[in-house]
Amino acid sequence: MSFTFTRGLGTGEVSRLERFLECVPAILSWTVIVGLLLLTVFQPVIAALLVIAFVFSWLVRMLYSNILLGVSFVRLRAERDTDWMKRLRAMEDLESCERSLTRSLHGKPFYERMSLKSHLREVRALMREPAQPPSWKAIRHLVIIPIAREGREIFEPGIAQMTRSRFPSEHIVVIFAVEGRAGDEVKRNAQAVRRAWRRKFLDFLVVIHPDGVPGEARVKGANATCAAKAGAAWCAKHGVALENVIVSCFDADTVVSPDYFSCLTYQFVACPDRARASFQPIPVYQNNFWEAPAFARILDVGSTFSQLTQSTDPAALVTFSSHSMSFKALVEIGYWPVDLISDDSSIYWKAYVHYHGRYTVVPMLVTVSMDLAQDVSWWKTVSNTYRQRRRWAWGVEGFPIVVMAFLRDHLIPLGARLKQGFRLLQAHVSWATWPFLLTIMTWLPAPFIALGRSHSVVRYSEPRILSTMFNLAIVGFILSAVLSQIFLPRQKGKPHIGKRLLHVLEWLLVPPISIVFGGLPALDAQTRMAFGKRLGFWVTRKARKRKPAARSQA
Amino acid sequence: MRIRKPLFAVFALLYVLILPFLISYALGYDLVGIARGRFVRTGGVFVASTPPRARFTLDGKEQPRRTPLSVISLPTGIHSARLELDGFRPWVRSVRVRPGEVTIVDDALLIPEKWPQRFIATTAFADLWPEAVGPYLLFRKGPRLRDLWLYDVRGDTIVRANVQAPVTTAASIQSIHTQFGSASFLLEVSAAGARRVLRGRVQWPTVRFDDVTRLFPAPLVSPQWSPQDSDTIYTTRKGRLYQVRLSTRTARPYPARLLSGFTLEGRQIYGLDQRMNLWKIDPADGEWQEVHTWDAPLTGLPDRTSATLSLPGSDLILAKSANGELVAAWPEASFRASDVIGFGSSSPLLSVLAWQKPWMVVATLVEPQGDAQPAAPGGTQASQSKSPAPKRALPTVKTEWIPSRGGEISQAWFVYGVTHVLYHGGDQVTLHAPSHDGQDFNYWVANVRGGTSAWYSGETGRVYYIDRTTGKPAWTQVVAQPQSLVGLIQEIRDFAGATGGQ
Repeated sequence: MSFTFTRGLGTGEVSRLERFLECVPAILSWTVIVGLLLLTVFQPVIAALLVIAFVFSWLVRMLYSNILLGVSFVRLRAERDTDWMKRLRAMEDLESCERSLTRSLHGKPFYERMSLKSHLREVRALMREPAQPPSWKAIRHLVIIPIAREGREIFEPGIAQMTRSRFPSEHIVVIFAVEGRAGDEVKRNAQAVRRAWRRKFLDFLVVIHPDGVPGEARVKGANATCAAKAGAAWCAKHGVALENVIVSCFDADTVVSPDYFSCLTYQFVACPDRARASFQPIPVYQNNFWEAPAFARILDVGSTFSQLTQSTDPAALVTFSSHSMSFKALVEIGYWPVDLISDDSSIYWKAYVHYHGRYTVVPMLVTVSMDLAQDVSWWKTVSNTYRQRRRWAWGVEGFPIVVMAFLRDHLIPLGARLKQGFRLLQAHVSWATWPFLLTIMTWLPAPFIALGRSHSVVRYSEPRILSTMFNLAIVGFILSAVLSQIFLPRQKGKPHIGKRLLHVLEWLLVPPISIVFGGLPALDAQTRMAFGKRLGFWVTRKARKRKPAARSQA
Repeated sequence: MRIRKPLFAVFALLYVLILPFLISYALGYDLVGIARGRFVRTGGVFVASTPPRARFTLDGKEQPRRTPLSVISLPTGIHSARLELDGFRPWVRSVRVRPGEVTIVDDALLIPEKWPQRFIATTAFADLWPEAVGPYLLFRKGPRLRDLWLYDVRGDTIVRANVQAPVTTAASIQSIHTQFGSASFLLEVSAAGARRVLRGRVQWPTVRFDDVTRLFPAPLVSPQWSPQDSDTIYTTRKGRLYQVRLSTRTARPYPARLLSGFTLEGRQIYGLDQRMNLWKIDPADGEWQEVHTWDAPLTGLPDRTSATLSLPGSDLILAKSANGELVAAWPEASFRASDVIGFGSSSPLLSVLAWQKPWMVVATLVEPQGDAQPAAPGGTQASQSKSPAPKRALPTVKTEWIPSRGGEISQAWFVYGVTHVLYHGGDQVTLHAPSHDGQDFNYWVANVRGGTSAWYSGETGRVYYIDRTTGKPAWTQVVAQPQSLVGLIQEIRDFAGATGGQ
């Protein structure tokens, strides 16, 4: 099968089908919203019953997700003190590692025991494999950091943090992928940072991505692809086998934890099908957490929790934001899509299609910290965040391409195609509709029943049932608020108790936030796609008020 | 993660199992009954009180929330409801709960234990002559035209009216006929031994009169203002119906039909002839159509020829049915309706107020089952006038006798289907409010002092009266939040307007 993961897949019927598929998410989303609205007006009793069924399903799903969130959090906590390098060294000899682990399990504290058990399972899985896993010493990391217009204060702290990695930074090659259209100052900054930090790494390249390459759109994927090709050339020049290279594409503001590369290397080594896998850390948005407005904090803590919950289900996990993958796989699939905006998830679907469904995302129980979308003023931050969320929602552009690929590729099992297709569509439709349904439309049927002068019991029972269910849902919000307290970074130089308590109250903002920065941008993106109005790649502005600590250290 | 799939299965199963119960509960089914394999549909009750936040007790069990509140999952049938609020008299009523429905009880008026009294003026008045003209009350300090005082209900101010009349202000007042909601009224006076009919118009603080005696040569007996047109009055003279237009000073007679009484209903006029057959006429085209003849014998009718909402002086009561048509009832022998002062339509029953010392009667007309529709089928007016409508069964009457304490009914009004009766007797003014379904009655006494008559204003929720000991006009607040009634009164006006447009 020959399939190009890109827009504009063909002409004639193929083109029309693709165009129709582009309209499907918007049609469904608008049908759900307008349909329920019409039903509310003309058949409010039926609408009320549907609303009850929907809110109950949401509640059940939320409680289920909260349990998974709790479990995921416990797992994250269990791996917090893990010495990944020690494990990597121990895995040089799998049999003695397995014996040692089996012996040491007893008498350990809960979290450590949990971590060791997980480790033991992975070691045993590797022992069942015919081939020996690669040694960590042979592993090289290629870190690509696309830069469009970010200032030095945004991308330098991440570089500084990498040098503090527990994994030897001498195994890491850093590539600054600088847009050719970026200003001279950006390029000078990139070179300055390279000069300042290159001795700490195996190599440090600055690759300028030329503007206006035919077939490319002005998207991050094109820039990253250019850098990845330079990375491939570097590997060829230095005789580094691609299968031993892990490529990580980070946002410019990404700051990885000191354990990131050792954990990533461990996961890579421990994954039997490592050449066909991506590795997804937990993104946390903490670099400028206390400087950002309340709504931005809630939004991004929500994103983190969503990723934590999804990390419990590798089968449904899709790459998101900063992540890593086998460089061999990246080269084989033809790098990132160069004309799609949502490269984060597109790279997963591209690999999934390329390998006929045999591609997985391995959740990593380690965090990468990034900036919250923030600008110089509150209103600009609102606009900034809205645009960022709309860009994320623009990931819906992958839906027609994925479905077209599924229609052609019969090597992917039919069940898997149906399941993944439905999951993708459902995710986008629920993203665009649920905030409106939950926040506004659930409360409409009862007044409309009253307007119709009906004295049906439903008029009184529906608000009562909904209130009870929303009260139960508060349990979920309390859990989120409590967990967010544990996740919160310490505020430097100032007492932080008050702000932390205030942050708990900020969770009350969830309903309006979910509409303004959830449903609305998603509906906006889907409607634009349905009308064929493409979204240009827009680089999220990430301004910081405080000077980064890393700069003074550089 | 290994627990994910079993956990998902558990939650999916929970959803599938619980959802039918939720939907059943929403539709009013008894969950306990469903668990036992019986599908029994329950109902509910919604209670709103004036003032709100009253404690609500249903079947002896106090509910945790206060009014307004709804209680659902109630067994169908009759339940006893009680409202209590500190400083107010308890409110008790039986409530019927129907399957799958919530019975609305939003007319619970809680009456204060103690009534505040406030004097309107510092001088004594001969009598309270409580006639509402627009937003004003007309007070009479004496029998003369110049003794008229105007009271602004909203502004709570009283002034002597600046009377501008074509007759001497020493003319003595015989009778007054006002129109609901209008600042115009008719006054029958005696000036220099001659009878005169004046039309008065209030322009605070002036009352301008013009002479319309020529239009009303006979004594005024219950003339009726057109509900749609404040310029038009209907009246009878020697049993014949006339339409009087004040602006053009014309009196138009309708075709001769000797009437013993008539009443306006919307755009129709209903009249009873001497044989007590019911006729109707559209004032626009002026053709009488026979509507009803009656099974029951109609005897002993006094020779009186006027009717307002009912037929004073006869034993026949006219009432308006729930669907807006006019029906008539022949009451039980024990019920004399000679002093009927009004009726209310409170679907599906009708309430009629009457008076017979020392009792006040609230009679409830119950429509006969099966052929409750009036026998006035469609067709042309000509054919209808030629072929009398078929006879129909009479409504039955349920009466409730209330001790009147020696007083007399001074006013009755109907708010939101609830019949309120205000009357005075002894040294107090009494307010009655039967429940809207005509089955249960709640009574309370406004412990105001004295008064020979009284007037209730729905806009202010106050009863106006003359204090017996001082002779000063005063008011007391009988409805705590009259604002809610303003809306109701407006609703009644709208309803009246809509009915009139049919």
